[in-house]
Amino acid sequence: MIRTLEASQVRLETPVSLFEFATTADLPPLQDGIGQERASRALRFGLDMRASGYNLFVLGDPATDRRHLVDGLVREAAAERSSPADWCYLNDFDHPDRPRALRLPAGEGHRLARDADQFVDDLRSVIPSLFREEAFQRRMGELQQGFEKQQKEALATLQEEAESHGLTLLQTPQGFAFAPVRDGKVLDNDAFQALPEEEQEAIGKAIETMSERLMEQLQDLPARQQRLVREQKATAREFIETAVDRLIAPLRRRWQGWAAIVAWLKGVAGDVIDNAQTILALEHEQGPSQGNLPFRSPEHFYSRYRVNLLIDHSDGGGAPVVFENHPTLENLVGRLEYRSELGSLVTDFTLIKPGALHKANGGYLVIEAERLLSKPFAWDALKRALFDGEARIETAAEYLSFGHALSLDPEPIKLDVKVILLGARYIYHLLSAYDPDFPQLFKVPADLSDRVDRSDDNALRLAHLLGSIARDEKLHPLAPDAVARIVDHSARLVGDAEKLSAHTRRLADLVRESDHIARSVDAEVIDASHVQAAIDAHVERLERIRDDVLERIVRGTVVIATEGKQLAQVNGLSVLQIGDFAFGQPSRITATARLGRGEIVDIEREARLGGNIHSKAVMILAAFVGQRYAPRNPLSLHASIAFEQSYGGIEGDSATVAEVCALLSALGEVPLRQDIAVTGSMDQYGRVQAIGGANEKIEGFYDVCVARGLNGSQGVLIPADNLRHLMLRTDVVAAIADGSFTVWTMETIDDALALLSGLEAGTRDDSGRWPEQSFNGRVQQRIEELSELTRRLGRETVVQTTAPGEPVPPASGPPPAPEDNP
Amino acid sequence: MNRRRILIALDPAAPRRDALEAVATLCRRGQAELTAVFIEDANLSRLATLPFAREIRVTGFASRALDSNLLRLQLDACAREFEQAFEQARNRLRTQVRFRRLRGDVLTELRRALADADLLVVGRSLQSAGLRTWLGVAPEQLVDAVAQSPAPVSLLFVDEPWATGRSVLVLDDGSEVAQRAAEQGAAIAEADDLPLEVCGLHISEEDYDEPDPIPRITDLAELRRLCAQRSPRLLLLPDTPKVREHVDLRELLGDLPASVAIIR
Repeated sequence: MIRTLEASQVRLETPVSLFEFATTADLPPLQDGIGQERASRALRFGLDMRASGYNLFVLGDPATDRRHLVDGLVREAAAERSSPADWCYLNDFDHPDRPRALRLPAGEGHRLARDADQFVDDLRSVIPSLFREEAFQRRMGELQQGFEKQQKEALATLQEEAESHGLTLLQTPQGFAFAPVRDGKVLDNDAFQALPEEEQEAIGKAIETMSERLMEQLQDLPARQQRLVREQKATAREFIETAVDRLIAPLRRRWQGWAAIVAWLKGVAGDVIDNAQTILALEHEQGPSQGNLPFRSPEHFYSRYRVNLLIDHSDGGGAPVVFENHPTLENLVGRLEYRSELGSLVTDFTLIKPGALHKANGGYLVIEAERLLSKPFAWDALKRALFDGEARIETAAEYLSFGHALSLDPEPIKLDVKVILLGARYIYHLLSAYDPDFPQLFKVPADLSDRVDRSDDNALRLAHLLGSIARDEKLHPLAPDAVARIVDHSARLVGDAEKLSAHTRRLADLVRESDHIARSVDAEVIDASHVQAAIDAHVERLERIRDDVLERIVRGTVVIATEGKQLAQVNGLSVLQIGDFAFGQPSRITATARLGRGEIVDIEREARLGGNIHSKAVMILAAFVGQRYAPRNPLSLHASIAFEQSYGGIEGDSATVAEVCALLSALGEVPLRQDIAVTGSMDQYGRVQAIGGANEKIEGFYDVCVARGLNGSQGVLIPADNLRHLMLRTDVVAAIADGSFTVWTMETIDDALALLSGLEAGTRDDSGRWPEQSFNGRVQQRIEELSELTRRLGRETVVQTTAPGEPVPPASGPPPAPEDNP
Repeated sequence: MNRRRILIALDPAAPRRDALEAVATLCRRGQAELTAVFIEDANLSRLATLPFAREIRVTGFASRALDSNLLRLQLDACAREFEQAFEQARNRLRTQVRFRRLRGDVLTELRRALADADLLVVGRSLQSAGLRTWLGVAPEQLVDAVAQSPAPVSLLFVDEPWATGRSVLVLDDGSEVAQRAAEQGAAIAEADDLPLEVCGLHISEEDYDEPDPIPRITDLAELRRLCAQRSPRLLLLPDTPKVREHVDLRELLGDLPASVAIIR
């Protein structure tokens, strides 16, 4: 049955009265998503499941608010859990290349790190002051003085002995020498030669003897100096041990329940004792000068006694929730940083930096699957961490088994983390199909809908979401009429008056653009006019190709009739999608029919321009014609169907009704109205079925008609099942309201035949025949004539029965030659 | 210690570089006239003429024959090295530098040179474990030498390394000389960006009006302990009877781990 639609039926507008708020600023934030109950239940289940492998994969278009939904639910789950453990890395003094991981209750790591810092501060003052202590100085002075006294006494003894032999000890530029002296003066050679020979000989012998004695003294000097140094070191060590024990003892008492910390403190004490001289030098005291130390700064040296507080949960706040937006290998599993020291890159345990797995340990880690999979080694690293239950810091070079510089091998950290991947459906299905690890590790899919019911509740929730977006991004709040307009737009985006789009990212963009327009006119609140202006501006930015198509039709390059009647020609409708912008355009569908052997040729398929669905639709069309008009006889027919001036691919079944009408027009020689465009799918029995893009298709034909001038008879025929999808543009609605444009709905092919031809479709009588003057009757007669011709002329006879586009009085003339091919 | 006339006495075995560093600090406060004297000990020259003269070297502990030629070579090398060092110092210190090479009895020549000086700077080596003294002259002999000079001459023993220590410490006995020592100490402290610390001699409790702000010493042992605690770069002592009463300067100079200035 044909129904003519009222204006109120082609657009379901949201009543502004639904929203009882002044602006969205009055609305609290939206916690859950909009109409994603199934996905929410799956998320809650996955978040609650403690067994291993129950990680989640949230399937959904990136344009949905999947991130917002996940964020809300994950934070809700995290708030119910207690803060997880702190993790620290400590220096292993026996194996500095293998830092030890330490797990402590939340907040204790911070305490330990603070204790270590305080210890270092104390150490830096205690060790230098220890060396300045009177007792220490006295003891060291005693050792030094004892040594020097021994030296001086030995030298004095030598000097005395030398004097007894009439000699004195002189200093030469490089050492010592004994010289004979008389009256305080060293003898020169003349005075010496004047001495008696015996005396000369005695002096020579004495000098020789004394020189040997002095040599012995000097040769023993290094051993005595070494002994002194050993004694000084031992003394210093005794003092240092006592001082360090005084510093360590309180820490040992405080952490006595932690064997690992007590053992570490023991290592700290031993290392401090071994390095006391270095500490002294670093603090600008005695000892080796700092310039000879292998440290750029004291801080570098003292870092060995500090705690690398890798993960600190001292602020409480429940389980951590980490969104890793750049999931590289390093950002995921952590990394070792390096610093430049004396021209080399060096590292130590304090330069171990946590990755997202560490930060999320004991909580939740959310990652965009596409980003994760595009980063080298990141997916493997994540799977390995989840399988092993530990976070191990590895570089890309280690993954590739490349040689690398001497580095650290930090002890892995035990993992207890719930990973939530966000990704498109195809990624989920690809991973499920091709990665055997994936089903074991991600057992919970949470499938987000792309569209949700357009209920009042969901409309209100959308208002909350829009308010949250405006608030979070410091945009102007939205007035109720603006929200209503966005709700309508959301329905239009999904092409369904009873649904709303779950692609909230587009709506968020619309809010931002509306805010921009509102600010440009100094408005404080976004209203419906700002939203409409934003929508119009968005369309304008994208509609160049639509305008080109329209222009070709108006100029006659693409032949589309919008008035009169034509034989075997129907205006079909198709939709072009360019990015996120879709628009409809009419297409001229023609058919030919002649004597043949029952073939109905889909020219699009023959030219390999037709898709599978379109081919299937043409086969259904053939079956329909055969079963309706020649149920008991062969169909002596050769027909062809084509989309005229179509140079691209044709896909879909929404042109079936138009194709059937064109073919039957050719067969029955019944001209059809060209001021009506038709869209609809059809089954083998002639029942019309819903199609997609109804709004765009109606608007596409409307735009052509407007461009040529509306004549009041024009309109579009659509399946009755598409009524609920209508969310037409307001200008189209206005045209329908004033009667200058019409939208009809049909339920069967007969409805279309009747409307397009102006003839009764007819009702088959008990003998299976249609009334002679009905549309179906004329088709039936024509097919019977063709059968008769076949019988008379034989199979080889072929008769052209009807030419498509042949004008029916008044004739519209031949179509103009195309200016160019699109 | 902004003396106008500084005499630096050079010894092949003494640390020249540190003595020069100290002089640089002293010259930073104002124009000074610097005279470097290199004294060749006449006793050594006489020894070198003897047929059996032998030198026992501190480094390596080897003995070798010493003759006039070898001694001359050694002394010339030392003198040339010193002269070059002072030539370089002339530009750096931007002060008048004179190099003199003397020969004779060390103390006699030094006393003569002191006639034109306000301050004598001597480098003191710790390398030979107390075995060697300045040109064979004990520190106490130097103290006596400057004490005998007609005009007051101060004496600065420069320990190596000079640029250690954390302060400039002045012993204040309340005398006018101590006042000068404090002024000179303050100048050096400012030049080297170090704190100036003052200690005093012990006084009876009756003399206290209020809590004593400075440490006080009674003898050399306490002065040594104080130096060990404070680690001064330079200790300035006024050479007054009062100080000598508490501190034996000769003994002090034997082993003090700091540079010492005796101010007159």
